[in-house]
Parts: sequence; structure tokens; C-alpha cells
Amino acid sequence: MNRLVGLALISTFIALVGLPIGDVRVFEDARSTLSFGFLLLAAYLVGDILARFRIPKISGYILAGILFGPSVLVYIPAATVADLKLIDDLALTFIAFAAGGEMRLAELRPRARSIGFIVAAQVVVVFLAVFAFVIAAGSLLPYVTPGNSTQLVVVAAILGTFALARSPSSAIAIISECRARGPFTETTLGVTVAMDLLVILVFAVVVAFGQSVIDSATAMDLRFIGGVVVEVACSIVVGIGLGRLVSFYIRRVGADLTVFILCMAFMVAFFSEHFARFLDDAYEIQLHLEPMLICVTAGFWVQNYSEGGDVLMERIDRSSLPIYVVFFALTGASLDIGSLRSAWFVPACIAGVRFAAIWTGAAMGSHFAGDPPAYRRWSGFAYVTQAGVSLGLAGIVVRRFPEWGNELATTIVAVITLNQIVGPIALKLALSAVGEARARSTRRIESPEA
Amino acid sequence: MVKITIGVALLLLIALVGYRQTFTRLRLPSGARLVYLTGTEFIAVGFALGGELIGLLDEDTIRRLTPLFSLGLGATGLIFGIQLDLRVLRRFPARFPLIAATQAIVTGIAVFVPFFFILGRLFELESTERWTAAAVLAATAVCTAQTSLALVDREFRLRGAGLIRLLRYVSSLDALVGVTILGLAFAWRHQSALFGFEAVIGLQWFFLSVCIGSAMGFLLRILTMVRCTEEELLIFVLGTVLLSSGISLYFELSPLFVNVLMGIVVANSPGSSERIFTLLARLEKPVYVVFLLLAGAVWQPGVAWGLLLAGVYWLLRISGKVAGGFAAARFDSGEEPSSPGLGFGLVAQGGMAVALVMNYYQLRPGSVTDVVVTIVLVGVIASELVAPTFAVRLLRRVGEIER
Repeated sequence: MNRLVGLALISTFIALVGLPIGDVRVFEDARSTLSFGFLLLAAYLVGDILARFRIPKISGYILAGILFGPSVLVYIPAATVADLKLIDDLALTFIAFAAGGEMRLAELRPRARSIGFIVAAQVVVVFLAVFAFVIAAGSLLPYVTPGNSTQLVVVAAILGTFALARSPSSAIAIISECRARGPFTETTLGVTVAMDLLVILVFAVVVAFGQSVIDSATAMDLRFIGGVVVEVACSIVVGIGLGRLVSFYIRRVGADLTVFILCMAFMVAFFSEHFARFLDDAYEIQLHLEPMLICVTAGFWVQNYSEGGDVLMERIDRSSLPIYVVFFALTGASLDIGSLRSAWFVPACIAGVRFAAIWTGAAMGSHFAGDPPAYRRWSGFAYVTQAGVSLGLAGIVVRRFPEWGNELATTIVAVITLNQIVGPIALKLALSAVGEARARSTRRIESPEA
Repeated sequence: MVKITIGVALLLLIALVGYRQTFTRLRLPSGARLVYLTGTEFIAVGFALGGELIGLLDEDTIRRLTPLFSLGLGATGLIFGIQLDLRVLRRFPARFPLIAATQAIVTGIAVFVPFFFILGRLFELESTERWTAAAVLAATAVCTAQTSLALVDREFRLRGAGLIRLLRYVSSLDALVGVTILGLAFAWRHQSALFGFEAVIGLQWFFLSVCIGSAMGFLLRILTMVRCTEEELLIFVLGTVLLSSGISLYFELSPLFVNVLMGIVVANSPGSSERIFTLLARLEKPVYVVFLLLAGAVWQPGVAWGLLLAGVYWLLRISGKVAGGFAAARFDSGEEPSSPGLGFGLVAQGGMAVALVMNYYQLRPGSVTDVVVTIVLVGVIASELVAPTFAVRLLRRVGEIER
């Protein structure tokens, strides 16, 4: 009841602030602070209310973002969402630290066989299924010129590649919410991170191939593929360096670790953006380090190659909830519900085909790896979430294929939106079904009056 | 860019390592320890990162960091306000608050009046801008930090506790006068009536500040009155602080004042105030560090008049504190002897003064903003450096520390 009253109160406050107040002078820069606070409270309260109906809290945070964001009630306008991009980046890199830290080699090694089989099966099955569907349903895509089979193949390959992308941030948030631990959880996290890494490489090949076949005068851009490989390698190297720095800090200082990690997360986000700009301006080299990969590597390094892994995870865990709330609420607010409303049929079909293919691929992989039957049955539910990297890659599609890339990106974003809504629910269901989800209530502290 | 990034990482590391080492392990000479104790190193690091040197935290980036900036301000206000539990304050002798208020008001006047005229002479300012700048300087001058007392506590064996108890009380309470002056100054800047009638416009806005603070205190109370985990409590506190800071800033009111009020409401209503205070105490240091970094980043000491005026401000503030101490000595009951030299023990300025001037900076109200920031930051550093010496001499004179 108090949650509902609280939600009603803050909604009233924000609605009152939004009322026209004549010629009163206001400080527009404060809107981001106001929206940030409102979103943090409202998203958490919505998530907490929905959790009573066994819906994952992060779905509630995303839903709150959609509801109060630019798509529906516009309590938080699009410009404010853009203003909060820095907070969003900061949260994403922080979550990536957590994702890396959650992967323990000692627990991953026995699961390597499963991870390998599931990744391989999913790459083949999901890519082929979505590719085949788009080829078959090409006439439904208004931006594919009728009779232009080359373009159709390229579009199908791009959509097939996007179907491979996952969301490590959503996975880690659900795992954290459910306090899940065990072989299934480790496999899920391992597969999710591996797939996200793989999708960057596959995407580079597909885009280079696509450009060369569409513009027959152009040879396949091997430099682009090479560049992506170098980007991944450099990101991993920088991540190891950062991991060493964090473990040094834990060993020698230890205090204020959360602040230190947040500072490092800010540095990584800032460094990646400006380093890319610097290389482009000074040497015309396009090399974009991937902040997410840098932080996943750093977290992984600290967890597995230093003695500070447990400390890192304990501190991250203690302060991660507000970061998850803000990140997923902003994700929800950024989702383009308008594009989904105007053209929902094809994205819904692609999402459906992708889900069926993921389930089949995961079940096949689990079968070949000799996993228990429950894992085979539920494994596919764990890999539906999508965000982060795929949204970034959608931007590259727009730049690389200027004639129809924008419309294709709209389809991609619509598919991501659906997967981001359904994915967390499916993952929570899977973790509960295999018995690795635990209640959070052990940490609940009673207030004096309760 | 690589060099800069590595430099920044090193600076941050040095700041955090140094901070920790100073408090826990290293035995630095007292001068160096003082620098760390006052947080001056973070202002220096922030300055290095700011637009004047490296340019990482330039004006645009800081604008994008407005939510974090506001969070720092709001949390500082809430931490202060939540300590103002009337049940606790009533345990002290009745003359203590009178002494605190008297010395604060005398100091405020000692700085406000001269600066109101100095700023008018030196700069072409609109009346509102002149009033606000002078009021901000007065508000910051009023605040006293406990750093010098903490240093005395650590370095010397104390004998008796009459005066040091009073000094602790005054230094923990007088910032309320400063924050209220700031709340009033921000309210008085408004030219448009809020409730339709064109009289006492400033009071209308001040009333709105009080309403926002009270409503947010009530909201935090509602949210935390049922069972909640530590993580939930963190979200409720952060969210409410951001919301109240955002609303007050949006209406160009002081988030610091509003959050102090919110803290007072929470502290004086039954519920989770102790848990919130424990949580905030954990957040206090990181928030303060980030906050000082930002303060350093916005500082532009190159402003010609700034350094000279900082010297004047520093002298006026110390004179005000000393005069205020003499005036407050009238309230001596004789049961627990204080000292007419009380003001010498209240020279340290510290965190709240920085928070107040940052609150002023955030709205960038006029052409003298940078000058005011410089005056206060230099004044704070200078006051912190001399404060322990003054405090030790005072306490030696009254025989509360062994020679």
C-alpha cells in the first residue's frame, strides 16, 4: 500500500512541476536531476509492485521507463533521456564490471563444453532461421526493392546477425535479483557474454560482405573486418590493464571501492569515445574500443586472476540495485515504442522466429553437451534478452547503408524492444524452473515499526 | 588524449590512496595531514581535471553531470538536517543554541555589510545580484567545520570538556543559519509572484522551499515506514534527494536548504531516521569526495579580484567569529565556563561552506559567480590551515589541553 501511495505522490509532484506557471523563471538544466530522481523512485516502485505478480523487477523498471518516458506519459521528455546518456553509459560499464566479476573460471571450466555447444548451435540455428524467414517474407519489408534479391539477402543476413545478439546487462541484473548460482546460471552468463562478443565479429563480416555485394564495384572491405578484430583485441588488452589497476587498488587501498569503480567506469566510457574521435581526427583511423567489453574483461580478470574477486563482487552487489534501476528505466525510456506501434507485425514475427530458433539451438547444444533434461527444456528461455551492443550496431547499419539502413534499423530496434520486454521474464522463469533462483529475503531488514 | 586519461586515472588514484593512507596508516607531518583532513587535495585534483588545466571536467561536462552535482548538494543537506533531532539538541544547555546563533549572526553581518558595498563598488551589478552574492558570502562565512577540533582531539590529551563541548555544539549547528540565509537569498532572487499577489514575493518563494522540503520529508517517511532492505533504503534516499534537489533547482531555489528541511522532518518524525543516517554516513565520504572534485573543477582562480577579495573575506570572517564569540559570551551562565575568545575555536570552515558556494555556482546567477567561488574556496583553504593553531591556543589558554 505504501508503495502505491509513494508512487501516487511522486507522480503528483512531477505532474505539478510540469504545469504551466506563467512567467516564473525556471532552471531547465535541473530537469535531468528531477527526472533522474523521479525515474529512480518510480521505476523501483513499479518493479516492486509487479514483483508481487512474479514479474521480474527489471521488467518493471523497463515498463516504468516506457510508461513515464517520451513514448507514453512524457513525464521524462526525449531531450532529458538524451541528457541522462552519461548516467546510462556509467551504469552500463558498472554492470559490465559485475558481469565479468560474476564469471568464475573454476565454475566455467566444467561448463565449457556446454557453453561451446550452445554457442555453436545457436549461431547456426538462429542465424539460419531468421535469415530464411526474412528471405521468405521479404515482400513484407517495405524498404526491400521488389525483385532486388541481392538487397534481400543482405537485409536477411543483417537481421540474422542481430538475432544472435544478447544482453549481458539484463542477464546479470536478473541473476542478481534472483541471487541465482549454479551450473545453469554460469552457462547462461558464459553463453550470453560469448554471443555478444561473437556478434560483433559476425556483424563485421556480414556488413563488409553486404557492402561489397550491393555495390558490385567495391571489393569486400577486409579492412573493416580487420578493424573490428583489432578493436576487440585492444578492448580486451585495455580491460586486462584496468583489471590489474582495480586489483591493485583493492590490495593497497580497499576503501571506497564503489566510488573508485564508478570513476573507472566514467573513465572507460569517456576514454573509448574520445580515443576513437582522436584517432579519427588525427590519423583517420577508425578504431572504437568497446567499453562494455573492456569492463567485462576487467571484472573477469579481477575475479579470476587476483585475490580481490570476492571483495569486488561484495561491494558491487551492495550498491548495484540503484544502478540497475536507473539503467533499465532509461533503457525503457529510450525504447522507440512509436516504431513498434506503426509497424509491429514483421518485428513480432522475427522475434517469434528468433525465440523458436534460440530454444531449438539451446536444446540441441545442451543435448550434445549431455546436460540434464531440465537444462535442455529451459535453456532456450535464458537467451531472449537483447539490448546494448545491438543498439550500437543498429547505428552502424544506418551509416553503412544510408539508402535503407534507417528503416532497417527501425525494424531492428522494434525487435530489440520486444525481446527486452519478454526476455527478463523468460530468464527468471528458466532460473526458477531449474532451481537456481534464490529468494532475496535473507537480506531483508525489518524497520522498527514493521 | 591517452596521456590525459592516464594522468586523470593517476590523479584519482593518488587522491583516493592518499586520503585513505592519511587516515589509517601514514604518519604524515601535521601540515600535510591537515591538507588531507580538509579535503584540499580533492579540490586540487578537481582543479587539475577542470577547464583551467586538463579540461576533462569542463563546463559542458559538469552541466551534463548536473544530477551528480545536485545529488552531492542534496545529500550534504540531508546529512546535516537529519542530525538536527530536537530531542537530542534539547539535552544541551539552553544557552548553547543562543551562543551558536549569536556568533553566526554577528559573523554573517560582519561579512555581508562590507561585501555588499565592496561588490557594488567593484562590479556593475544589479541590485538582486549584489544582494545574492553578498548573502552567499555571509552564509558561507557563518559555517564552521569540526576538522580543527578533530585534529586537536587526536593530537592532544584533553583536560575537562566545557569549552570543547560548546565548540563542538556550535560548529555542528551554526551552518543552519548559513543554509537559511542561502534559502532566503535564493527565494529573494525571484521577481514573479507565486500565489497571485504581488507582495512579499521573496517570502512566497521561501514558503515554497519550506513546502517542498516538508513534502519530501513526508515522502521519504512514507516510503521507509514499511520494512525495506538496505538496498531499497539506498534507492529511496537517493531518489528522494534527487527529486527534491531537482524540484528546488528547477524553481531556482536552494536544494541544500530544501534537503536540510527534509532531513529535519525525517529526524523529528518517528521511523527510520537512524537507519537513514547510518546509510548516509556511509555515503558521506564518497559524496563529499566527488563534490570537492567538482568544486575544484569549476574554480577559476585567474579572476583578478578573486584572490585579493579572498584575503579580505578571510579577515572579515575571522573578525566576525571573534566578535561573535565576544558577543555570545554574554550568555555565559557561569556553571559551565566558556570563553570570550570562543570565536578563535570556530575558524575552520570546511565542507558546508563549499556546498553553499557550489549551490550558488550551479545556478550561475551572475557575472560575479567566479569571483564568489574563488573568494570562498581560497577562504576555506586559508581558514582550514590556520584553524588548528587558533583552536589549540584557545584551549591551552583556558586549560583544556595539557601544555
